[in-house]
Amino acid sequence: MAQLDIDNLSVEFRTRHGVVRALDSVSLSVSRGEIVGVVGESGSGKSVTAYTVMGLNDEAAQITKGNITMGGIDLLAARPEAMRELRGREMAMIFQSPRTALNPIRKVGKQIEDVLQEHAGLPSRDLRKAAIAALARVRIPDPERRAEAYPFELSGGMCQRVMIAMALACTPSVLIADEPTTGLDVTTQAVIMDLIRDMSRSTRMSTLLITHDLGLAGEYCDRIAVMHAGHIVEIASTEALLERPAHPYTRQLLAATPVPESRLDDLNSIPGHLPDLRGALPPCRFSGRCERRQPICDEAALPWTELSPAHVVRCRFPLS
Amino acid sequence: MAFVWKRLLGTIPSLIGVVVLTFFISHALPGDPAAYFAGPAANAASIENIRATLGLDRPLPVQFLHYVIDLAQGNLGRSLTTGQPVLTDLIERLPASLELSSFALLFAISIAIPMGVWAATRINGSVDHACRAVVTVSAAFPTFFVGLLFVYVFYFLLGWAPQPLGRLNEIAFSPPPHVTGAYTIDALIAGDWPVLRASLAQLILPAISLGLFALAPIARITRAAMLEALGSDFIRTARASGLPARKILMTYAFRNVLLPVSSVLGMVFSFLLGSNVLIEQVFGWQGVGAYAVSAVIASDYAAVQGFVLMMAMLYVLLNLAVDIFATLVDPRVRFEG
Repeated sequence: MAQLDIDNLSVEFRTRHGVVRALDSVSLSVSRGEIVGVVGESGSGKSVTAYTVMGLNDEAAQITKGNITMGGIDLLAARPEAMRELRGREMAMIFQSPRTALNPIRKVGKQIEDVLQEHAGLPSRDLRKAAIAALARVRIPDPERRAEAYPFELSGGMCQRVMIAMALACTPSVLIADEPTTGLDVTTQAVIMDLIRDMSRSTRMSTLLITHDLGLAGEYCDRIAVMHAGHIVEIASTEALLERPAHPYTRQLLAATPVPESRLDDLNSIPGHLPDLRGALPPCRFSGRCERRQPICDEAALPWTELSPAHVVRCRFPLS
Repeated sequence: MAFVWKRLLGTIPSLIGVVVLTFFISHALPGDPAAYFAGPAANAASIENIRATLGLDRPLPVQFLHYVIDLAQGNLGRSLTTGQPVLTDLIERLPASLELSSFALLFAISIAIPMGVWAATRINGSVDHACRAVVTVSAAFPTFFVGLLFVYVFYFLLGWAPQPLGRLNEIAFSPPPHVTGAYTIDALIAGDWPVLRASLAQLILPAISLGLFALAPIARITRAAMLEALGSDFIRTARASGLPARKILMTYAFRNVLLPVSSVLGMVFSFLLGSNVLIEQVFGWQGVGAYAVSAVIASDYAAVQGFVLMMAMLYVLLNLAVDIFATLVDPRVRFEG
């Protein structure tokens, strides 16, 4: 059984301007030691999925159906206090813009100690040593000195390592990385991603990598789920998805992803916008932007098409 | 602490400006101290006589020169109304004003900060609405009006408060031995509980009426800064790390709020020192505010100039204290010379 299992999850936001159906029947699972990418443009529901798993959604969010289990624990039925104890110990999250994601007026070592103190059950005299060990694990040079630094004294990449050290301090079984390299320069990106990959391999941690960068996901993930307007439109192994995309949206995303040989003129942009998730929506939320659309796409319920056991696509007329 | 000296040196130009301005403004005020001093029965000759003894018949620049020379020797001149050196008067009365302002600030902080924090954790909840109401009411009523209202209700109607006539009922009690000049603290040091109780009873109404006015800005800035802190990325990280709600609120959010709140506190305290002028009149408080009012009425130049100069120096010290506090709270704040 998968370590993290999201099953048929639907989430709505009750806002002043109507009900936003942010997630619709999202199913996704991550096994131990596996890295699964969730790719899609802004507003596709990637982060809402992550926040729902963590139990950090806004109060306006309502889970209308579905299940989330982690290591057999039903997360949606767990009490808030139980969820709080799981966060930081069994499941952890890292964010984009690491410099603002750390408390600006607290030494980074102290921030890691806070997490350890809450979850690791260490006597307080061992906290500092454990925090320095956590910094050393993410290959921060001179961790004793860095533990004394404030976030503003460290570079963005160094702050992200601190974030990772903090997230992994209690060796969680699930890590959610929400755009962890956005805002970092390219060489630092590779260092951070290598670190995340090595960590999930060595501790057999299930990692959910949320990114808008299909190229990055292709390089580091075992499987990739493509999201569009609150739907998962395709899930496949990285190799299958990149070589044989079956959903028109996936293919367009690939055409919009730069590779070393591509010139600016070669890159395509995807026409149209995400549909407004407040009003009535067609069964296929991509139909408004799809060049292969048929009249039946807007009528009957949308099927899952299984191209192989590990490659499913939510399209009536998948590409072959 | 080299930066402290640098900061103090940096304020010298503004203090010089204060000296020049207060001298000329106080001399430009309507009213003739010689006539005031001579009394209603005096004739023109005796007024001229007094004017000459006071040195007021000399040209203004000469008077200014004398004033500056005296000032350089630490001599603020002699008050016409009390007959004492101005410096002695001010030193005698300043503790009373500081005591009043400090208690007012303490009262305001102890209500406004918890209220602002609480309101920010439950936006549009009942505490938030109460906070908004208190802020509006306390900002809308002038301090002296609240003071008069309090005297009317709590002294005249209910009889709960003692007579609003100064810092201590000196018929029933004698002031505690002078240490700081603040009666409550001196009574505490002397262990004189009846005097402590009596001086607190005198203090409570003026301090609250003054403090109500300070409540509004403190509560508003606390709520706003707290909301901003709670919405920030590092609070999201703290929640994602499963830290307990109390720790997130106090150690993570509230400490980040101390910086904006402390800078407002500095400002509010200087406003309070200024508002003392009115509230001291209402409650017969023998502080520097009441002293300044009577000095202005009597065109007592030396006293007015001394008061303004002292206030300016207090503001400078206050701002310095706020800046030093900021470096302690926030490691990002550093002094650059």
